[in-house]
Amino acid sequence: MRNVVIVDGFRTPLCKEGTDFRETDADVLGAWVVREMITRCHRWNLPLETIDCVLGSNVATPMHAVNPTRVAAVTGGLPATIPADTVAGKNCGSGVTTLYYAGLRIRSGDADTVLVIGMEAMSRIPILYNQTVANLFLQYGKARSLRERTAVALTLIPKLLHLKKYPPRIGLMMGLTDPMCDLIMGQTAENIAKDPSLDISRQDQDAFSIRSHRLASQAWKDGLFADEVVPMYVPERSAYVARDNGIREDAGQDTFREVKPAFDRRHGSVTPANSSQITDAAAAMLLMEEEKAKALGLPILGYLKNYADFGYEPSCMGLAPVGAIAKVLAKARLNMKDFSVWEINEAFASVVLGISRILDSSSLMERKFGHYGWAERLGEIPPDDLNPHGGAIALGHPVGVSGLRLAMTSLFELKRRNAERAMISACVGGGQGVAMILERK
Amino acid sequence: MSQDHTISPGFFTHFKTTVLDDGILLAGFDYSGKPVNVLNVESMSEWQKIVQSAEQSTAIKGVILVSMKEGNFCAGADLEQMHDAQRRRAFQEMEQLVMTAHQLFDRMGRSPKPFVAAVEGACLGGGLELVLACHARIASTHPKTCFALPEVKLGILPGFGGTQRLPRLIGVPAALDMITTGKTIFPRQALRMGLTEGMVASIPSTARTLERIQQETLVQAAIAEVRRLCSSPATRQPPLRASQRFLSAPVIRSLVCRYARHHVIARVRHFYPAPLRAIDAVAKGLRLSILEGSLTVERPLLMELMASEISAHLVSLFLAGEKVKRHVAVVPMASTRVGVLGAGLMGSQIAGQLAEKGYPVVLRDLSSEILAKGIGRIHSTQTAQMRKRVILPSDLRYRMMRIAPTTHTRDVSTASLVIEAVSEKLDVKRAVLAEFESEARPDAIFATNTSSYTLADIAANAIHPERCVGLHFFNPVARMQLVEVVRAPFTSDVALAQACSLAKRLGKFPLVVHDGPGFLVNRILSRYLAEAVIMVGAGISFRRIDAVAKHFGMAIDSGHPMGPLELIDLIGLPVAIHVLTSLAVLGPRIESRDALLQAFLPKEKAPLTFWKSGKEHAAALDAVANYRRAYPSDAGPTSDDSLHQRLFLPMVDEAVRCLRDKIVEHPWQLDFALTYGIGFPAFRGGLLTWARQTMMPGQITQKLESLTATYGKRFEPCQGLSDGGW
Repeated sequence: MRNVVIVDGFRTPLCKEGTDFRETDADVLGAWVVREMITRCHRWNLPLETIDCVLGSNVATPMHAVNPTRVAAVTGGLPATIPADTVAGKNCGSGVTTLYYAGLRIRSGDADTVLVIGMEAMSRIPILYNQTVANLFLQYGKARSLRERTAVALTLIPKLLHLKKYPPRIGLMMGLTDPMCDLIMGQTAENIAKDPSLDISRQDQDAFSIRSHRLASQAWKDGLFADEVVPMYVPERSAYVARDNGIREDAGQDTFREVKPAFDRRHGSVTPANSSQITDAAAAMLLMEEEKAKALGLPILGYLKNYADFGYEPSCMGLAPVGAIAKVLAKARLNMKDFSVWEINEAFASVVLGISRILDSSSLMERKFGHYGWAERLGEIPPDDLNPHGGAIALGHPVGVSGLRLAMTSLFELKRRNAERAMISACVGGGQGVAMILERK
Repeated sequence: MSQDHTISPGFFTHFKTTVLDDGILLAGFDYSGKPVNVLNVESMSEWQKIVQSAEQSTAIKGVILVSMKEGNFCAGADLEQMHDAQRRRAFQEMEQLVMTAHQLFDRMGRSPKPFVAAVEGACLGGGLELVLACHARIASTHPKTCFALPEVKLGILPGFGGTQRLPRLIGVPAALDMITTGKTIFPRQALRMGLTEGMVASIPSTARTLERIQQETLVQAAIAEVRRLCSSPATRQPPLRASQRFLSAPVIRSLVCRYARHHVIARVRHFYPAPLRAIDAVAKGLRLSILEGSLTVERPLLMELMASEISAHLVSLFLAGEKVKRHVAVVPMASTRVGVLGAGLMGSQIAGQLAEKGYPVVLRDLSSEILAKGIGRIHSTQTAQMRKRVILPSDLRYRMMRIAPTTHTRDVSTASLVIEAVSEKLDVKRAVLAEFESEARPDAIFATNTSSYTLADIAANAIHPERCVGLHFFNPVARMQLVEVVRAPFTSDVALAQACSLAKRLGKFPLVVHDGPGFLVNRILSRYLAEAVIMVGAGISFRRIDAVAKHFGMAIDSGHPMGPLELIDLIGLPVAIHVLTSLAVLGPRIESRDALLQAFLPKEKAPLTFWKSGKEHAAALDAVANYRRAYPSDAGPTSDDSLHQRLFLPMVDEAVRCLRDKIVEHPWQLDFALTYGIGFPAFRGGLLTWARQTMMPGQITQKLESLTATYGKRFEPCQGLSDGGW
């Protein structure tokens, strides 16, 4: 059995939508982390040709680079002989799934070394023309004679200006809306928050977000993120970006109480303050077959172990990680006590609260997951072990990158705690969940 | 393939010929003995024979001219032959060549058989004129394909009928633009302006033989063009576009020419006659036939220009540049990674240039803010190139990605050559060198871009001084073609060769100079700048000082004539002060007005400049007035002539001292360096050539001695000056 090790990993700072990385496309963000990984390879005296392939995770595919991983790999400085593909299409789960596929490649003997990158430029998601207007543009392009062209232009221009009747389509909103239930992600979070059996109040959610902000802020103060964050230089803005910029130092019940619910203005409790942020970032991890890494004398950050994904009701997609966690525990024949660090993606505060409440209660497990054959509580996640340095609520949730961030943060935390095993999990828009086990030895 | 009996392949030294199946003669220009094709007496007479036999042979339907050289179609007339003629002042041979060309090109034009040029690679000067004499031109998109008439840059005008044929082909305004500026036209532009009839994608064959070349798309397109011209001879002269036809109409034309003349005078004043003569040739020639125009208008003007001093100077400077480049062998590097230390103004520009030429660069600075600014600066210059369509967006992407910014020294350790451009402080430079020695690989080379310290100073504490070499770039790096490669006695040959080779690959002229204060260029320049500052202190107006230098033609070749004070503003006063102070070691001849210069450096504010948006800076004038109250001096009225002597004669003196100190060996190197380094006017042939040709050695000494009597010891002439021999 070939073991998969993680040699090294790092990420760029996470920058809120419309801030430092707003001029930077996903493929360029990816190229930056590839370039940084090349610098590290030079440091280890590792020839770049050792890398067998590059797998990338990206959700909002840039229009100009449908395989952003390839563009990032080649422009970042890797030889063009190294193939690269983008493993997208699993929304917020893309990062974890890409790690899993990279691990599969290594385990199967197909590759010895895989560079995994994640890149997401949510600031760059385009706003599209209304379909009627877009059709008229096409018609204009096809028009041959001057008369025809004038006729099309005369119908086109008024429609172009009539924003109310022919509104532009906002790519980001379209991306965050689930066509299977016509709910935007925040509304699925509302479904969980409003579920009486889960008993999640607005105060609970706000308290959880405040905790996230405080922990993240403390981690930066203690210099804990120095291990995983690589500062970036943004040529377009002559800027030096070294820190995640979404963390609110003023997070507190008083400030968060004022924030209005965004997804159900009258009766809702999910607010921007207790949801994850829309963010631009990139990350990279170098995966290798264990023996090879040891032979090359490379550092070993940790081991990639079992993985599971799980499907659930799309309108309550936030609860799907429970299933994924149960599945991966069964696969690995472990129970919850064997884990020292839990990184569950904070898509929404209600999601993480819901997951931990179900895991800890047999009756909830029975009610929510009974028809999957689970009726036993799995255990409690000790508060100190759950997202110990904050999560997506404070740092941000660049969808294609979050999976890699969870893996990295948990591995560095394992190292600091000198502990053995971590669980990472994320809910996935469309009613899925992913979970993966990482170990230090 | 049928064999023709009148012309058989291998018959000529400089051409390879073959006749294709349908009677098309394929002539491959392959000048033997040179890496590029040139037109001189030998190659021209061979081409004449080819044209003759093509005309006479009934089997031949048309001729296609291609080049067998990769990346070069024809570099034009043989410059060495011309230089030789200028030296001997014997122009009969050149005139004969021009006459032959005119007759021959005219004959091609009138020939019933179509001539088509299939151009791949650079097509310059006489080469373009040869191509213009053909009936049609097809260009390939090979990256080196370009068209230009750079003759004016050598002080002459296109002499093989270019001034006659080009305006008829592309219209007067476009032709004047090309002829008076010598600018380069790339295939896409050429097609748009009607210079070529077609453009095909370049897929050059690896083996440069006629058999292979004739299968190329380019030649296939040319064959199709010959067939088209054979079947409909009426389409031979493509019509001008309507707008061009209007601008080339008789009355309008003279207005266009007048406008062009104004434009030229604004750019080069009256220092260079060639562009103006070229406009004359175009204007007058259009009233005559091509042959008449060539013989009676263009030829006399050409011969007059060729015999002029200016052209001789420009040609010898051009050949000096070729010599400088030819001396440098390109040596392979162990790794192409280059480290640049310091992301300030110079460091970032050097990094940008390296990235442009394909080197992976590690740019290191202690401060991440400076690094971010440096990266931003590189990005904006590169984006400007993309906006001008000089490069593609993907080029921009690759160039930016080649530069890895870092604050750690360990990342530089993989580089095989490190260029240091940190702040000009000796202890900082030494610390950087020490850091380099502890981190870098054992075979790595340390190149310093210092402008004021000697290599010996910087490497004083080095463990391996043999790895140190100087690589002195000038600001702005992208435009200044000169690089001083400084060699100290301890510098190893490998280090020197690597540094030269890098500079050459950056497209620069690597001039090897020996170590010494200010090296070559700054040492001589400092005499000029110091004197200008002293003049300011003596109450002479900024405008007058700069006017004297501009009147002499300083920096005219860059398109922005500049006096010494404008130059100080450009390089930045703090840098200038630093250079002057560090050159004080040369002795009392470097006199610096520290009190005055300090007045120009207000505390916690940007340093004052002499000029502000084209006017004398009021704050600077105040500073000078204050200084003059504190240090009153009155030199009495001075003539412009004496100002001129005070500015330029000390430079001559210092140049001779440099030669005596063996900073460089040959006077031509010095002339070359000053022309490309500080903008000494090229038409004067360089500093020493100018001094030699306008004054007797004794006269210079005499003048300097009389200046010494009036102004002080700083003008004392050196020993070697009166001896001549430089």
